[in-house]
Amino acid sequence: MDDSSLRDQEEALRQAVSLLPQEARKRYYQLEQTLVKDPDTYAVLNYFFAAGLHHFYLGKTLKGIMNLALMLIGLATLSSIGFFIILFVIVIELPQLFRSQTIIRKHNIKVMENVINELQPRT
Amino acid sequence: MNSNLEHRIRKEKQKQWLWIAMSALLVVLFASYQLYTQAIPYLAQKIAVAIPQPVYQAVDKHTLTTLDDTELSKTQLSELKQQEISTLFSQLIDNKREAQHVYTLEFRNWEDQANAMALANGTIIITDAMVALAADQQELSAILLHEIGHIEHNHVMESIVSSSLVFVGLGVILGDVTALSDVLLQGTIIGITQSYSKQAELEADKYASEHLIAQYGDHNAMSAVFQKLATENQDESSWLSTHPSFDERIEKIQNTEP
Repeated sequence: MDDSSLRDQEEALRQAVSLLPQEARKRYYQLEQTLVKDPDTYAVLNYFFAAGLHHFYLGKTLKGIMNLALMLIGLATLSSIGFFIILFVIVIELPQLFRSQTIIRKHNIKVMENVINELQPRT
Repeated sequence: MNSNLEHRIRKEKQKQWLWIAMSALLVVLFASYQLYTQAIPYLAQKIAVAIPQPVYQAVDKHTLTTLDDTELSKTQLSELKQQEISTLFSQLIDNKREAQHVYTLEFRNWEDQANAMALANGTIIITDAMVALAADQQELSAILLHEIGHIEHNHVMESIVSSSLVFVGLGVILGDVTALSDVLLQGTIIGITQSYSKQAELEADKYASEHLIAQYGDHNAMSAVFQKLATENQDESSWLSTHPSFDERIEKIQNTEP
């Protein structure tokens, strides 16, 4: 997903927010402060031992557990194949560090779209 | 609906940070343990072997010069006694002529402290008090073989390399900007190198014990020397020591089959 597509989605989100009733809009901004994720935190958690902490940060528990388990298996078998397992995890996970801005923008858009759906008055 | 949503969000966030904290703790503890028990000794061994011979020579020369300038003084042993011990030393290293280390024996006095030490490239220093402590040739052999064991296992250079690895590793993680990181860094290095040092002592004991058995048929001389040293160093604080306790060392030696 490129930058212009993300900008379009963010614009659509802003439009949807502007259409919310005033009380719901106020709640939206309150929830936004709590729910949006920070790309720097994501990047730091990714960098930290590449142990899947960045997945937990985005609420992707299963992916995080798989990443953590692979890292622990790699560490446990360090004297045999562990080095290659750790290398594999790093090769898969570390590039996300450099895409943290895009990943977090996508995540925030998705989360806030769900919030709008929840806040929209039922007809 | 909104209070339900808020409650759900709060619970979700708590769960996420709990996973992060638990996983971080688990990985840090496990990675530290694995680094300490496997990665650092393995890397230290490989790097120490790859270090060129002139570096070993320079380390020995510099260490001996520093010790001579600060702690050690000229030996009071007679030429005859020195010759006698040197002959014994030559016999002990007889099958190591082709080894990469250059074995030399140096006699020094160290304020009447009974001690012997090995340097990286094969220089062994024995103090006058240590010579006096040894009752016979077997006990002297035990002392010298222990030091030869350190050299054969390359403990000195491995210790220098592992300390450097820990220092650089912790420096990368903690940075070097705060007093706290400095304390953590120094404390960890002291703790880890002391632990490695104790392992090295036991390894050198094992080496000496096996060679004593091969040469004299038993390793009683080792235990005898340790008992004498234990009597001399009764106030030694064991947890800060770089050596295991003498009781532990005697017990380990006695477990070596004659």
